[in-house]
Amino acid sequence: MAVQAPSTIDDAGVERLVVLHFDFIWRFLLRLGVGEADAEDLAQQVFLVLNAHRDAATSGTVRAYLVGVARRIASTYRRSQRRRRDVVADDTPDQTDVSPSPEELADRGRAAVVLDRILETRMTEAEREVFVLFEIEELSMSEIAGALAIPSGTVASRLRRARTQFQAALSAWRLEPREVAS
Amino acid sequence: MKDPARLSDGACGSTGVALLAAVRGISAPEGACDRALGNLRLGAGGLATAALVTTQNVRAAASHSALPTASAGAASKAGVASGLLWKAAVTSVLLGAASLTLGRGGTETALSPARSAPRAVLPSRDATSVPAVVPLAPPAPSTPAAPVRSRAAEPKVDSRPPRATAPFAHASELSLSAQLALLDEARRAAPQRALALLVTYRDQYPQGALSYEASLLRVDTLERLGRHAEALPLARMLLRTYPNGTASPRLKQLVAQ
Repeated sequence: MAVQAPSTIDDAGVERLVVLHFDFIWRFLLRLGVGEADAEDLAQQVFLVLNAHRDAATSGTVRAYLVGVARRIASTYRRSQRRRRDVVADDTPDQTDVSPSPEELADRGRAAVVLDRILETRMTEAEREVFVLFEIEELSMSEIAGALAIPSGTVASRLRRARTQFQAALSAWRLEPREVAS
Repeated sequence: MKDPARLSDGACGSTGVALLAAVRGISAPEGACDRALGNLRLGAGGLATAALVTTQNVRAAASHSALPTASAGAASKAGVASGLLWKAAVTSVLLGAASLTLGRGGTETALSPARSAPRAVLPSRDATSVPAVVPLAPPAPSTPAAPVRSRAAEPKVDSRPPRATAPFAHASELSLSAQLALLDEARRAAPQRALALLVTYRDQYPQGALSYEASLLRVDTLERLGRHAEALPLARMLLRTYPNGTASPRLKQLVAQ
């Protein structure tokens, strides 16, 4: 459930928001391609920005605000680092590799690597953001629209394309049907 | 508009569900949230002091790097200035990275930090200038110990002088960005190399604006290496010299152990 920001955020409020949302922001950064070694630092940066701009975070939902800051920081990070996640380079199976079995995917680490591979190679940055926020973090479409500053229709179309890509990746492994859920 | 059903409700089959479930709800590393809270409580002023900081603040803070540190009072001043500078630099980089802009019009809401932004501040993301990821704080220390290791015993490492980048007009800013880059490299390095880099820092910037942070990092690095006997007197020295330093609470905790 989204936390509605109070009219002003005091120190205790900022701390409460860190406790409430730190894991969420950390996960979001990871799924946007931030390396695990850097995700904690960048998550801290997100909350430092929140702290420095308390007034800016008092309309709408704080979670949407944090998402907006996090995606910007992640984008800057990726450009500046000019590198992809280690797992993509080292551990991720090529698409022609033997498909992972459901049993293998029961291993969270392995599943995360496979999922990140799909996010990295199959989706645009914009599609990836929407997919992660809707399918993994379970934000509502309207909240995503607010966080990304795009119309709801755009959220829906990006989500459709992202789902198509996700299903296509699964189909490439001949494990799943090609139909895209609507 | 009604939201569509999520794929994890079964629309993507068992493999898709397994993939999505694997990353849903995972937590940050243990203690990460506490470290974030600790870093937000920078300085005696706490959270309230970490307000909007601009390039001007960085320049002003950098100018304090020339403060004499001989007397205890002056040293204390330098410590405060150093802390401010660190915070200012961190926040400035953040502002550059996060690029917050409000009321851009069009379809953007007032809450949208997404696209926008005053790109001002410390624009260079070059690895040799201000690092994109600025160290927010060294890892939490565990335990203390004794005599400071001699400099001669530490490995010497060539330090790569950071390349000057366009946006920095003043020598003090060049120095500041170089110091930040050096300390950030030390923070990320393996402990032995980190110590060598910290020696480099001490040699290059004997009265550097980030001396306090460099010493803190040294304490933490020694702790990581289990060299408590060397970390303890350094921690005590920091407490004596900078009693109101940003890390005083945890240094006191370390010394009390």
